[in-house]
Amino acid sequence: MTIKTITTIALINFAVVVGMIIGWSYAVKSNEIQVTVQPSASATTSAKSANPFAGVPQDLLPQKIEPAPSGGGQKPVSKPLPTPAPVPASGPAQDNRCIVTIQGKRYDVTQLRTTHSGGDIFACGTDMTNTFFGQHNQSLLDTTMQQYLIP
Amino acid sequence: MKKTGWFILFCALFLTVNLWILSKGDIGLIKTYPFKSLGQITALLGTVLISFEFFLAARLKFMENWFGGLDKVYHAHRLVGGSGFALIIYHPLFLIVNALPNIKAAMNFVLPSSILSYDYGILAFYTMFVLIFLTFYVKLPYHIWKISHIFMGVPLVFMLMHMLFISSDISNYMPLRYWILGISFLSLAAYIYKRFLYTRFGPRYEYIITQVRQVESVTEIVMKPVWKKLEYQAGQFAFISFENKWLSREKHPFTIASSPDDETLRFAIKSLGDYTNKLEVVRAGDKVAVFGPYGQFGEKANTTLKDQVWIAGGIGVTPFLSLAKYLSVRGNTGNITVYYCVKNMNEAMYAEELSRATANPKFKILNFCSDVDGRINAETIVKQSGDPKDKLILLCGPGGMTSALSQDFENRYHVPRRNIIFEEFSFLGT
Repeated sequence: MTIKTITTIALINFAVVVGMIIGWSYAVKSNEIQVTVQPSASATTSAKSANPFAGVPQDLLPQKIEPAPSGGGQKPVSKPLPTPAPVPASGPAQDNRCIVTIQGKRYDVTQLRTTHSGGDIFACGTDMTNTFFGQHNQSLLDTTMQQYLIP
Repeated sequence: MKKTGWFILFCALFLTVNLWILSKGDIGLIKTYPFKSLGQITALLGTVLISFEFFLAARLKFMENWFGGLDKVYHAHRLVGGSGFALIIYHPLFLIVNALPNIKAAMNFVLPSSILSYDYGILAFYTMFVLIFLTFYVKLPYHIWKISHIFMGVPLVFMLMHMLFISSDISNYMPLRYWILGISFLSLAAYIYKRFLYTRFGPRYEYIITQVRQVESVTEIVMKPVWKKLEYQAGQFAFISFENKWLSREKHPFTIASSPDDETLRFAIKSLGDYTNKLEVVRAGDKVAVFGPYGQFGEKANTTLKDQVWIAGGIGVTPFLSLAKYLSVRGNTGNITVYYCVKNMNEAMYAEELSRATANPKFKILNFCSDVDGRINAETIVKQSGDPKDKLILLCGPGGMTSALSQDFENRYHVPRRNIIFEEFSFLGT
């Protein structure tokens, strides 16, 4: 095997992995966009999920289209559907903090996200032990990170 | 001495691995984070190899001794540089895998971001990629490729900046930091020497052309020293740069055809490429900068008392002109049989000159014309010159001829590899 072959294999590996993560990041982005346009997104409570339009005045709700009477030649007439008004959250107060887990402990990195020298790489609500130790060591966790530890 | 270079490189790699392991307070971390560990060790080993690549390109005399000739040095340069780059490719690759499924973190290893230390690494990687791509995958004309290779210092500088600013094992563990930064700064020094200082402060000798002779496609140039004479061994070569308005000042390697005893220096250069095709423009009176001497082709032949077989293919006769003239007069040698292989006798322009060596009865010259005798092979040589096992065999000629003969002598006739001498001139343009 020549050195050119070894380099070529390494480059192909790199291209495949980079291609995959670029594809993945696009997929994740488009997923996020889809989630934000759905009306019942994150703000809905379990009670609301049964009827997402509970508490909305009837005249703002979409008109129900009645099926045409049998034998009649009339086609159903649909009215334009008004956009539902924003639904005020009625559940418990939403926690906007960004909390990650490292070695089983929870850290509030809400502030750190804006100042982190490695950029905002935080995946809130996940276990980031691997990511943390991919870049840092234990001493950083035992010192600097202590200010973000949730007791 | 021929293996010293590889042994030193192996020791450097071994030291790097050990320092990296020592940098881990807890060795279990390597097992716990395998991708991160692989990303780190590939970067460290790749850095050591790339640093060696620059040492090997600097035409340092001790490197030539360590590897057994400048052609072997450039062969190692290509091998070590390519391997170093292959390892460097795996550095971000393993870190990407380690960062997954966090895409944002993974992308920091691929695209520039706001993190300066990462950006230096990314710039080093992509600039190195472009330059290696041009070397391995694009067949550029030599002078254009050479210009592209000059820029190899750019990724090296980015690599150094990346290592200086990155927060990792090399910033936490001082022995590893000093070792890696030290070897990298030395390689930068080697690059600066070769690129900017070699022409002025390298082994440079000023010559002036006294005679130019054109015989068919061969230009024979004779020159005399302006100040100091180049001291060399028969069979060595030098890089030469002509001061002629029709020629570039590029330095090209050519074998010295004159004897070390001669006051003048002589080169016989065949038109084989863009540069050599233009050499007919050189004239008596042109100044020449000669850099050298290099090569160890004639080293054993100059000193051994063994019988020798020399096989010259076409213009590959030039080192043998030097050796024959020198050894026939001065040498305390065994019997020497010279095969001068050409297509036909019209091409054997140095047959007469070689035959002068037969004034010394130890020399025997055999002209071998492929039009009449067919291609020369080891069997023919053994039939005419006897068992080659204890002889020193010197080969100089087209690559196909030298590799076929050397393999035959080694495999069929069990001549030890150390007794078969040839140079790979294709590597010397670097």
